[in-house]
Amino acid sequence: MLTKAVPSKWLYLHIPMLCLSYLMLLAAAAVGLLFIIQERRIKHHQSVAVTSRMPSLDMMEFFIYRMILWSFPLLTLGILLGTHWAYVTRGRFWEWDSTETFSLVTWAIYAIYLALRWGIGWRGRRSTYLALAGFGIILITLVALFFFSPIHTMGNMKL
Amino acid sequence: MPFVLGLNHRSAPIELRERLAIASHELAGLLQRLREDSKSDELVCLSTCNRTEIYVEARNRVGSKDAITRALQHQAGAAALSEHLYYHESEEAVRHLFSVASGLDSMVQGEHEILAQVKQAYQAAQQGGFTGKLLNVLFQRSLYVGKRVRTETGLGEGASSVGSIAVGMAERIFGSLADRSVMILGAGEMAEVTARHLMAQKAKSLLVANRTFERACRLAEAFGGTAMHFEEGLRQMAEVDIVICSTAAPHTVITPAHVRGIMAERKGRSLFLIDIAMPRDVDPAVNNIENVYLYNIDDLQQIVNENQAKRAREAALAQKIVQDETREFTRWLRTHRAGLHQGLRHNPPSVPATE
Repeated sequence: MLTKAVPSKWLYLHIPMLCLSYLMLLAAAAVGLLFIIQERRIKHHQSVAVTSRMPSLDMMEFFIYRMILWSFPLLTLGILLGTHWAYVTRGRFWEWDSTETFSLVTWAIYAIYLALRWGIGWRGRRSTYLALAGFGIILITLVALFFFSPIHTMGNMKL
Repeated sequence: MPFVLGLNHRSAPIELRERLAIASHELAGLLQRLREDSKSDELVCLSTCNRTEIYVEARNRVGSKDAITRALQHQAGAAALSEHLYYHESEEAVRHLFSVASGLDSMVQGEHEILAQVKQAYQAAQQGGFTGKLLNVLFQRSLYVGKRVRTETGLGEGASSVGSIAVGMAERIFGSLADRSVMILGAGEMAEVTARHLMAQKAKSLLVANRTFERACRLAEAFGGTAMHFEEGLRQMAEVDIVICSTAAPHTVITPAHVRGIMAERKGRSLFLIDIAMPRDVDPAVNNIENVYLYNIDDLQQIVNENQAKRAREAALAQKIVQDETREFTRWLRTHRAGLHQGLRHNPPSVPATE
């Protein structure tokens, strides 16, 4: 593996930035699951919707939105730093390895989420499903990262 | 063995309860007088707006009871008292106190206020030196039972009217209603009741739209809202978060197409429709639109019924706790009665813990 040339330490921010954004997106996905459950109960007139002590739909929806909003710049910057790292070490910005590809899909999903929310105020059950799908892709990215990616070899990485 | 003499919201009318309500600053004086008159060993007086009860431990139970009855009659003045008084002794008195402390005996079953009131009544008596071994253990135990019922059962949980369920659902959708606006479409009587519940949660504003404008005005005035004509209300639906429909129209007045148009204007913000008209005002298919939550009167009534069933289950559970604790306490009492009256110092291993 080409791991010898690491010219600038701040490139390492690539990793913590993405970790932090993934954590926020995890929080968004966890609340997203609760939202889906509670929204279903209210829609279907179930009494447990009132007796349960879940936060209101609006509050959960806003939390999910805010988490995605805050994580998005980190996600973007983290990926850009990654491309720069790739350029410095291997001379190419983008090589379409599995981690890179799935990261791009993740970024696209959350970009669509934000664009639709800002544009037409798209929110509710379906937009929450999109946020959950985004996190699903993150999980695939992480699997790819640890097991399949030739570039992102976390297994034998020496920091 | 202890006994209790008293009256509550079920046994006595409010006029009588008022006369026998004892303010906290009069409490010590009353207990002092009662102790002298009745020759009782231990006394606690629990007086709230719904009950006045004297818990007593006395060697001469009959004499003590008569003396306390006379004292209460004195307090009641000319009013007939005896038929409104209840008297429980031994195990029944224990069970009564445990029921009271756990909120089973309250007017609003499961309310938490009473536990604090029992505690205050006990502390006042104890600080005045009116309690002894028996009532100390009994009252500490009752506080424990009250806490147990509160943590182990859902006694008193779950709203029990259509209006309060509507409010509960609104809060589950929007959170605080403080910045939400409500519209009444067609000012039927049920709409008024539901609106009163919602406005009690301090909703931001109320619009009333009705075919008869005068009726709209009257209702709007009652709640500090704005009255408008019916068609104007239909147009303005995008501006409000909660709509209560209660028109006398023989057919549906709100169609899915209409609501879809509203939702496009609302940019996805949720809309809560409460249809309490009969026949229904809102096409049931409206509920399939995303972020729209439609409840008709049957949906709300169904939840009320489920909650009532749940309340009954929880009350049974609470009663079982009270029953078990009563039995355990009386068993302890029987074992140690001799010790109590002889004033022996002992530390029974089976003394019920207070926490």
